Amino acid sequence: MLISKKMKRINIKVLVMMVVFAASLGACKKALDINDDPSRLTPDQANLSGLLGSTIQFTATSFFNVGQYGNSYPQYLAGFNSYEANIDSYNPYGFDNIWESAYRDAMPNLKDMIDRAEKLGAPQYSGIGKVLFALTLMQSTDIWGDLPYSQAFKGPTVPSPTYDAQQDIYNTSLKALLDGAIADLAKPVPTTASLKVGTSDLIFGGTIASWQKVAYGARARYYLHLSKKDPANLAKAISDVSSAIDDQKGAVDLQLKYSQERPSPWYTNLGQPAITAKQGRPSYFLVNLMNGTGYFSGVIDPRLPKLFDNAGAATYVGRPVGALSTDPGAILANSDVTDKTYYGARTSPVPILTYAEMQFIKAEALIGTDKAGAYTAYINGIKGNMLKLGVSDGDITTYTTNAVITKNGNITITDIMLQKYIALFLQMETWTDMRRYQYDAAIYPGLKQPNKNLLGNVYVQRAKYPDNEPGRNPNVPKIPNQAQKIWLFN
Amino acid sequence: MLATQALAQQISVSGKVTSSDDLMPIPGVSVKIKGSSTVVQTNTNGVYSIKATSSDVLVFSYIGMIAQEIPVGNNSNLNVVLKPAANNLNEVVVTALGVKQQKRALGYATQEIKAADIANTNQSNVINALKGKASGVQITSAGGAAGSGSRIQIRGINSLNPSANNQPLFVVDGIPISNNTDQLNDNFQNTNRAADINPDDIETMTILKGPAASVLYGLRAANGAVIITTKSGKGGKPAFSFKSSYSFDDVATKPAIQTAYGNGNNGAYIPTVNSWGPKIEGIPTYNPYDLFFKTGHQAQNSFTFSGGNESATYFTSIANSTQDGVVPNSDYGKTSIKLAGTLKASDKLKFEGSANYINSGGKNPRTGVSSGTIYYLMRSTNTVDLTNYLNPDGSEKTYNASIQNPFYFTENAYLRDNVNRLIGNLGVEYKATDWLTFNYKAGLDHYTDFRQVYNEVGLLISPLGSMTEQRISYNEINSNFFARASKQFGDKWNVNFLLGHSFTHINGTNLSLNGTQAVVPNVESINNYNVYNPTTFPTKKNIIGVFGDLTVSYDNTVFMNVTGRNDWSSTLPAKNRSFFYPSTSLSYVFTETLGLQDNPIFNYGKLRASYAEVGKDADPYQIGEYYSTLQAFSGVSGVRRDIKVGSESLRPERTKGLEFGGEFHFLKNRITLDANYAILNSVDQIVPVPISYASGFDIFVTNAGKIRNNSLEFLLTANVINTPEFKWDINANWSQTKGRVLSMPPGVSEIQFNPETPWVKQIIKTGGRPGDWYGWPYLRVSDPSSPYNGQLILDANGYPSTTQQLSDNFLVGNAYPDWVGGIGSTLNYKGFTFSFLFSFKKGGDVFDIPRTQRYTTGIGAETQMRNEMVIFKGVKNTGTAANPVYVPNDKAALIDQSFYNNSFAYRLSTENNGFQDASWVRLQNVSLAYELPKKWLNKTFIKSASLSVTGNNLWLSTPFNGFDPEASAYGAGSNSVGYVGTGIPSTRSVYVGVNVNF
Repeated sequence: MLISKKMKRINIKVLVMMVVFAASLGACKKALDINDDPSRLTPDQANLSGLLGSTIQFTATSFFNVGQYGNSYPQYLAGFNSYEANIDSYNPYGFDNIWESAYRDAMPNLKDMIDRAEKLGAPQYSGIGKVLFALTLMQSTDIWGDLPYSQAFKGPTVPSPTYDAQQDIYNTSLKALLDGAIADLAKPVPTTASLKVGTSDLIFGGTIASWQKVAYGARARYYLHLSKKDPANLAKAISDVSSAIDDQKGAVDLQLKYSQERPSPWYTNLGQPAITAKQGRPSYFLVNLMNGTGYFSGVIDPRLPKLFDNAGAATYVGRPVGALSTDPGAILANSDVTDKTYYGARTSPVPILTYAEMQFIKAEALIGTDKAGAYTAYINGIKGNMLKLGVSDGDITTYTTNAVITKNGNITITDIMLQKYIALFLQMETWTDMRRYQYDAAIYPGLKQPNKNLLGNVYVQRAKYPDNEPGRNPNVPKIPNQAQKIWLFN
Repeated sequence: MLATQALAQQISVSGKVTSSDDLMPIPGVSVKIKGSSTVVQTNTNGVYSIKATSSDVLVFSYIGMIAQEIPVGNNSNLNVVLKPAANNLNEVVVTALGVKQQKRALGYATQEIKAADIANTNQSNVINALKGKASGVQITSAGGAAGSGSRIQIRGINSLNPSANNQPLFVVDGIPISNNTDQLNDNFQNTNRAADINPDDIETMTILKGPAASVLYGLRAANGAVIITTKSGKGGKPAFSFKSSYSFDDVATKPAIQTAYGNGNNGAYIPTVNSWGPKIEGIPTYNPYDLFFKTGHQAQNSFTFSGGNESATYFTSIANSTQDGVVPNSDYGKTSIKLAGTLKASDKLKFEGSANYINSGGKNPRTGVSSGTIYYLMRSTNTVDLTNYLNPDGSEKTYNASIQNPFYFTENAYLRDNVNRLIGNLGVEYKATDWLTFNYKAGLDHYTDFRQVYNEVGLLISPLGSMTEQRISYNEINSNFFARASKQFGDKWNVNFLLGHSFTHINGTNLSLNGTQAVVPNVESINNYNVYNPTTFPTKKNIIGVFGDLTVSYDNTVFMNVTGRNDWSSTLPAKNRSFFYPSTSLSYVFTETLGLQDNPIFNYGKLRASYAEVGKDADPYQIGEYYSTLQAFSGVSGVRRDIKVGSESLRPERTKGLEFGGEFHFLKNRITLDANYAILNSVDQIVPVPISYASGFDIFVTNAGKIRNNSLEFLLTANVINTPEFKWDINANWSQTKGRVLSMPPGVSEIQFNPETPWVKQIIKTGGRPGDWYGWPYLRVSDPSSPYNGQLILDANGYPSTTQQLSDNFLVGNAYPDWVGGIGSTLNYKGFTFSFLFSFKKGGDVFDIPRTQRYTTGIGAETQMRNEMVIFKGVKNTGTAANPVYVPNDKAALIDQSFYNNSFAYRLSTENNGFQDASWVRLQNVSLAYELPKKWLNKTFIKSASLSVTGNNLWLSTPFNGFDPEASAYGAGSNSVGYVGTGIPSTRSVYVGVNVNF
């Protein structure tokens, strides 16, 4: 061997040192514990106040999203495209936008807020959370029927939740949420500042009394929905209405008011002047109820210019539903939702639960037993909606004393439901009403199926399930088409 | 006997060693006395001096040259001319860590690309220079926009994660550098960062294709590695070179339009986007594509200066390229300054270093799937002159409010980017003894990318105007240390052992400020907005690795190699962040054992086999749950939980590769063939699995799924004619990669591999392949016993129909090719060199997004057949659904605007509606160069000069109808292949260039 033994020893030592050096460097923990994202919050850093701020926004967005295209089902808006594949012709539609805003955004964060509030002892937070959750869940199940709830929101351990039957959602889950909300909101307010609802309450600024009224109102809506299955629910609805939203001017309405920097989604998506081709235009059915050519014959509703913009024309004309632009009547439509109208303006609200709806619930519930009480509620509802829209007192009086409207006290369910229809413009709650009465021509005179009806000759009953759900969840129920009734109306 | 030899008189023998190539002296040639350990080297002038006796034999050897043995005899002055070895059996290849190894010793597949072949393409983006040249490698560019990025993929996708990085690691001078694309979104064709490299700086480029080849670079090379060494100067007199070229670029392939019917709907004139109007008579017609695209130019200039002596060498290069795009208001420029050198401090100690500063950037046009330059171009009609697009007051003149004039749009919506980059490294090599060397190198890659996306007020995409300022900064520091021991035992056995340590630190920031609602139009400043939304995405990652490599060879014929590496990555949970992966390979030059080295027919044959594992880690910050703040609403900020959650038990991915191959030389190395077959299994994929929104999340990042890729590669070279006057070489490559999904994450039946479009989806399912297209084919008879099997079933009105069950997806094609290949040839006659390269692609369906536009708007040439009754070839069902009775179809159906519209209506059949076979034969490159005869230059200071004319992408033959099917819609950083048509189309270019050395 030409290498001296000494050299060999030195070199072996060097080799060993290197290996040790390398191994010790390899285990250097400090260099490797750097995997926490500094630009985001860890679960400990999230707080109740922040969650309330976001969940209110998500809930309001989902109440816009549901009607963004869905408003053609209650025929508030008619589609304006020249192609046939329109939602208002019942082309299959999955309401994907609220699958996002309700199930992906609102509900998981609401559940997070409720869980934290219950653990930390902040009953007002959990009460508000439960009210918003109940309203969102109720809206969702009215759209789709069976939905995941009891197995939902458990994170990646349950990546494909099973679908609860709508019956269970209504009878068990929604009941628990609404009763729980009312109970929680009644509990004493904690003394610790971080557990009190404050300025992050974008709707009521921390006024718990208002939330209590909203909670009763939500439960009243819930009982009304169930009244077809069991008319005994009507009495419970009436009882809840008495504790519900009571300000006729709308000060306690559940709605998010938008601002200059964060404009109303109806403005951004429909009303703003830059959108010259409006994707939805007020339908013939709605406009005819208000321009004197429909059921309320000869009465010009003072709310017309508040809701619609006809660019100064002499009369207001709505658009047929499910019609091509070459169909008769389509070309005559002249009314639009623009930023000059109440709902299309930049800073307008998206109403979720209003005083007017409370009164109409009461009227509908009392019509069979207490005609006078029903009539009072009916007029209160109309007045409340008109005050909200800014109609002048004189015009209100003129309208509410007109015999066509008052029927001299002898109103029928048709009057109530049609006035409720007008008052709840752009709210999908109306679609639940219409399906409760199965589009009865006696209750909704003048209503017609869409010109082009892809379901044949029946009205639409439900949404199809959202597009991205079947690829991710094998538990999605298979429904033949959107003409199949949901449990609530079966 | 030693005693006897000691008595013989020792004389001093000296001489000069030159190369037969250029008659220049060769420094560093080893001059050894055969049978002894006495060895000297030639100095920078090629001169050596050695003490020997007259009976000694001197062995002259140098890497890349044929060694010579010359007896001393009576000579005290021995000059030797060494010949370079063509198809050298002792060819050396640069592999991992910059270690030069004999090619024969490698047990895995590599391919070396010669620097001259890269430079000849005149491509500014080094990835584009590889098109058609490397087997098993697929290059796809994002389009022909100036500065557009390109994507390189070796042997197929091995990750189920749609946004995973499937591209190889780029290594320059032993130090990894970033090839990020930092893709902004699918509206722009951002540049991949490897495009910053100046191709003229490259000395060698080796492509390491599989895990075995890259295991010494660890997890970042799981998809292979591209090893680049740059020029560092040679000893001798200072050498200057100057290279200049100028190009003419055009959009070569455009879809055909019809000019029979003009603007309108249903046969009547309306100023709509459609061309369904009346027959054109007496009015001028226009082709929107011819009007819009212009000839672009690229000017490239580079200057290098290098030289050195026996202690030090240096290399300096300055290069600039300026490109004016084929789309108005688009450009790209790049300036690169490089300084590199080596310093030999002593016989044992050597330093080397390099610093490269690059500035690149330009203006990139805005494109997209549902808006953008090409989209508006698609929706232009044939009776309107698009070049007349401004009103006297400067506002846009357009014939329809729902589209933008493409000229107006490119002037008012674009991306500007400005990249400043510094790549530097410093290394030291210490030869402790003649068998032990220590090597340390540290490198830095730092770049900043300042971007502005501007959208003017009043555009359809931004009625109120918007702008984004983005600041990206990226820092990567690499430190590599290894010790190499090389020992010869006796005559036959040789052992090489390498032990090393590496550390990688990556630190990036990405700050983006988006402003919407402009205060005043026409002000390109982020100050000019009412509403702001800032976001930031920092990243940080550390990887520590230790590795060892042992090669044992016998008789320079059999080589056995074993490696092991352990990595620690900061991006995995602590309990799983350490992972070990081994490899082994065997290589056997069996022709030496059989004594065939001098056989005139078959003189070299090597068989090789290898097995290797490589791990892959996650991106930073994937573990666990996070919350984010929302934009303030009326002064109130909200907090929400993020919809992406990562498993707390995330493990590293693993790719396991098994390779077999061989290299064979025939006719005394005139013909060589390299064949390779590789099977790669990727398991424990880190996949962002989409889960039901009802779980409370959208994405769950977890280990799941298994993909296998099989890859077959061939490489053939032939030296057909080899005389001093005339040389003719041919080379060809062919490869086929097939992937298959073996398993999916539990509970997930499919993963959508792309952004959703209404018509087609790329979906991965168990048993399926990456790139599978799903859509809705027309109904056809599917009864093998029927004579009408396979024919279209027409409905009662005579039209084809689809299943209409929208939740069902049917496999309709695959975006990846069946095989790809290239054939090239070079002819040398006197001073002329003529070369060409054809590239081939067979198979690979693409979905041409604008084709649906051409059908719906009636401008596509296919729609010229309209307002006619046709009888579709097929059958109709005169029975029932349960008991069909098929008879030939005889129902006439009307082909009109409504038909072309409805066949593309939301969700109806994708068959023929956009899918096309994108096989092609392409003349990738052709060039003619003339080297001025040396005798003309004898009196001047110019050593050599050449002129060249080169054409890239001059000819394309493909069944695809549309723009060039190569341009990927989703950019160089994306895995979504097969969507084409929305980006700027690929171009063909002709370059004229001059190259001078002095």
